[in-house]
Amino acid sequence: MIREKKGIHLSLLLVPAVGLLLTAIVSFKTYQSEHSKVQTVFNEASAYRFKQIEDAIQSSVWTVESFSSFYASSSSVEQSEFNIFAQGYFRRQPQIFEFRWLRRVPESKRQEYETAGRALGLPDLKIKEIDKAGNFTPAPQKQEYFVVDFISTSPNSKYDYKRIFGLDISSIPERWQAMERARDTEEPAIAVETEHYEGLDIPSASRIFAPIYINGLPHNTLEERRENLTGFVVLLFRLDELVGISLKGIPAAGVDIAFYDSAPAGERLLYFYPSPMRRNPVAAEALSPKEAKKSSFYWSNTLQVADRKWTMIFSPCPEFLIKNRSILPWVTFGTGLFLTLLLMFYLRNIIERGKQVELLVKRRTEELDRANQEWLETFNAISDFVFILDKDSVIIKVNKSLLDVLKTGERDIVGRKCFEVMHKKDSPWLSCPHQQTLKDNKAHTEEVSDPGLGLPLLVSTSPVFDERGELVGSVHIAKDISAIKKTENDLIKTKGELEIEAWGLAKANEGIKALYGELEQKNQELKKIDQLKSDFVSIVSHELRTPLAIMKEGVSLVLDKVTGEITPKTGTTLEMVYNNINRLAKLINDLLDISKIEAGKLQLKRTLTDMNRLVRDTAEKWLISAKKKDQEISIITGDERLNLYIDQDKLIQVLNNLLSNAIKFTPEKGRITVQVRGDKDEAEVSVSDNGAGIPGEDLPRVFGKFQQFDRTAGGGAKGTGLGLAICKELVELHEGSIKVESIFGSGTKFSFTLPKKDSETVFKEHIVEGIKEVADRNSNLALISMRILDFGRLQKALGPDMTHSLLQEIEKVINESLRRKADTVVRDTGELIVILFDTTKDQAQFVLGRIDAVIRNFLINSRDEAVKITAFNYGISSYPNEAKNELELLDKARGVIHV
Amino acid sequence: MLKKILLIEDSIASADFISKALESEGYEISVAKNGADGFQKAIGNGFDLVIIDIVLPDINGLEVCREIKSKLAKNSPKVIALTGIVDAIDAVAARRAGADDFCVKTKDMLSLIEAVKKHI
Repeated sequence: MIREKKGIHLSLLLVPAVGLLLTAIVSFKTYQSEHSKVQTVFNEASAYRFKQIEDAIQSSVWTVESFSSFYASSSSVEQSEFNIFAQGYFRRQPQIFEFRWLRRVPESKRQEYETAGRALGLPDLKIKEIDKAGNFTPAPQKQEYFVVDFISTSPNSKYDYKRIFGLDISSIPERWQAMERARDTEEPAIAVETEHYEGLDIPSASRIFAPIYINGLPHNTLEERRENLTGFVVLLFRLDELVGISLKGIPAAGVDIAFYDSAPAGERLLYFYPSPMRRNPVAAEALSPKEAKKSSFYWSNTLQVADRKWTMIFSPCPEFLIKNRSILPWVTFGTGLFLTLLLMFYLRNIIERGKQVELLVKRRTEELDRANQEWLETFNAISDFVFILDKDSVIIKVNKSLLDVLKTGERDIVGRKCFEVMHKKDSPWLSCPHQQTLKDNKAHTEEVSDPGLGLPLLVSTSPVFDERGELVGSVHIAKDISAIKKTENDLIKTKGELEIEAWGLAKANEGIKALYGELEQKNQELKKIDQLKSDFVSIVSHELRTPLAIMKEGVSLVLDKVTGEITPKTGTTLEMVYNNINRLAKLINDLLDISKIEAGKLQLKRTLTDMNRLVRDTAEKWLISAKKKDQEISIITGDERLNLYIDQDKLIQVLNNLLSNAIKFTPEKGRITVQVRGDKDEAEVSVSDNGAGIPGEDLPRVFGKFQQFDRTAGGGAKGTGLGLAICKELVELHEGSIKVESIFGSGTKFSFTLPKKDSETVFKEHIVEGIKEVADRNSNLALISMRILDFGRLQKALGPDMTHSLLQEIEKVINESLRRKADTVVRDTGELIVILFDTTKDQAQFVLGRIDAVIRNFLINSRDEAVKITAFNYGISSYPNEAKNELELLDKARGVIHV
Repeated sequence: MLKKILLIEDSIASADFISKALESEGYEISVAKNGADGFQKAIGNGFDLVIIDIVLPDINGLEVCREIKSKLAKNSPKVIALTGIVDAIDAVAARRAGADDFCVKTKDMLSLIEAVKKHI
């Protein structure tokens, strides 16, 4: 493992090393190849240029030679002839500047020459010499002179040649050497001047001297040549011009050319031609042959120019190198580097991957080991008895539970047949699930209760297949189901118990139903009887009232002596009769009331009522009666309005009853106090006296029917015994409660409370009752909602009492205008609802029209300005077409839209 | 042949009423006034059905039921336990005692008659 890791690291180092090496080699090779390509280009360019220049130089040499021939063929050459001859060359070879004829003048003939010259129009002709500054001096005496005799110049030349006629050229060492060589060898010789003479600023002025000998005289030996020399034809050309012309039309390639004369003393630079491609040709310097040899990049060749050997060295200028620079080596290098890096990266990835895989394998192996271990542990932890059987029922593997229950070791079981071990038989058990699995390759489950096993078992076998799908055996799991069996039995038992209990309940239920049916029947009968009783009371009361009224009228007439005088005794008797008739009448009224209430026929007609005022008004009516008994009645109410929705008539009845009782049962000069108190939830009214009081044991029966107690009545008729019962019923109809407190001998206090209902609830109750009523007979109901606009303003203007009165007035006006069954409710927020029974919406529209007219009329007639301008909002809704319940009815009539 | 019913009921009024009602339905009725008498009659006379009032002067009606059922085992007649007071606990007890049905006494005895019709 470790060695492998090292190998990996080594390769990680080796690969980039080899990569870099290869990259270096390949890039170098590329460089070389590119370099040689460039060199080839350079060499070709150089060779081509060499040839062009060589041709031009060679033509110049030939030109001079042709002059020699020209001279050789004529005895003497006149200037005009010379000129004509020369002019042809100027045209063809523009590098040529001039041709000269140098005459050899021996010392002996100097005088003659100078005189002849003067005669030719050159008065000051003298043989002269020239220094480097271009100053002429008369030539010192010499054996011979070589003077410029005539000159033919190119049309390009601007030089004043006349000055130099008579100039002894041989005085200039370079020229003289060439002249000597030409004379002695009989061949043209060249002199290239790097120094300037004659005031000519010509770089690389090159002169080819061709010797001309005297016609007809021999010039075979050196002496003869020296002796018979007559002069030289000189051709002047400019090397720069020549090179320029030669290379004209060839695109610049960046080749510098250096011309060297291979002089015996050493190389001498004749001319340096910097490539026009150079950015700064002036600064360029020529490459010496030595330097050239050192540098690998040059090309040179040698050229025979007249008698001299010139070496031309071609070297590339920096611009050439730049131009021909190849990026290929760099590209190669870069690519190599990139590939190496890529390879490294890839390799690293592979290594990483390898590591990961290695780790994964390790982890998987561990997992597998663990899984195997876990499997074994699990296998052994299974509380069921598991073994794995092969096709011949031989036990292959067995778990710990089974070994434990058999109290044996694995060695004693594994390898033996299961039926031998388990059932102690020599053939498989009859319905052995393993055998079934062997037959059909399917899982089987059997309950096995072999007494030999001692336990009831649930045995499942599942087939085990090899990878080819062949059955090789089965997994055999036996579960101890003794606990389950027990639970099962318990369950069966419990189930039975439960069934019995359910049966019992069902039967009890049936029984209750039967009894309830019976009860219901009885109840119906009772109701019927009750109804009969109510009907009876009502009929009887009505039937009794008429004769009583007649009797009362009759007795009154007699008592008032309308029928004639009566005796006092008769009077007293009749008084008694009269009182008892009254009592009977009251009794009948009370009976009627109570029967109505008990029959549920009494419906409250709630209106918004000021409780304080109601109590005050009612109590005040009793002041006279009280005065008769010298009793005092104190009425204690609040100043504020105590608005309640109550049935005024019914509550007045209650109050009257309590007050009459109080007056009746309070002795003379007694005190009676009527008090009203209210809070936000309820109102309480109490009537108390300081009369006889009621004995404690009688208190519970005070509100019972036909109850009378031994109270000392202050004379007058006896009560009916129904009054308080009626009071109780009426208060309870208002959802209130009534109670009595009394201390026997010192006084009694009756008090009742009424819950305050908010107007909305009252509205709803009214509507609900209305709906109930019409729903019973499948009829319609319409609801009109009227709301006083700007009610706050009206209330402010009128004050609460006046507003209340106005509302009640309006209600009254409406009620008077209605000709059908209706219920009106007004609320102290300025809203009024009219419930129209058995009325459709269309009919309600008519009713509303009438109500509107009546109200307008009523309001206009008011003296109060605030009332006059009162306006209403109306809305109608109908049951059951538009709304199904009280809320919908109200919302609809009020125009509330629920989204 | 008329189906035979034994009624074990101590209240004479009830017994009369029930007897008449069942006779009018076409059953032959015998009446026993107490538990001991009822048991004796029940085991000897091959009744198809025995109606037992739970409350008897001598033995608990359910006890009689249990005795009959255990004595006659498979040949036992059907038994209806009769009660004046409905109680689920009694119903369960009746079932445990082997009663086949449990009926409440009503004035019309309709539920009893229905039960009888159901069982025989």
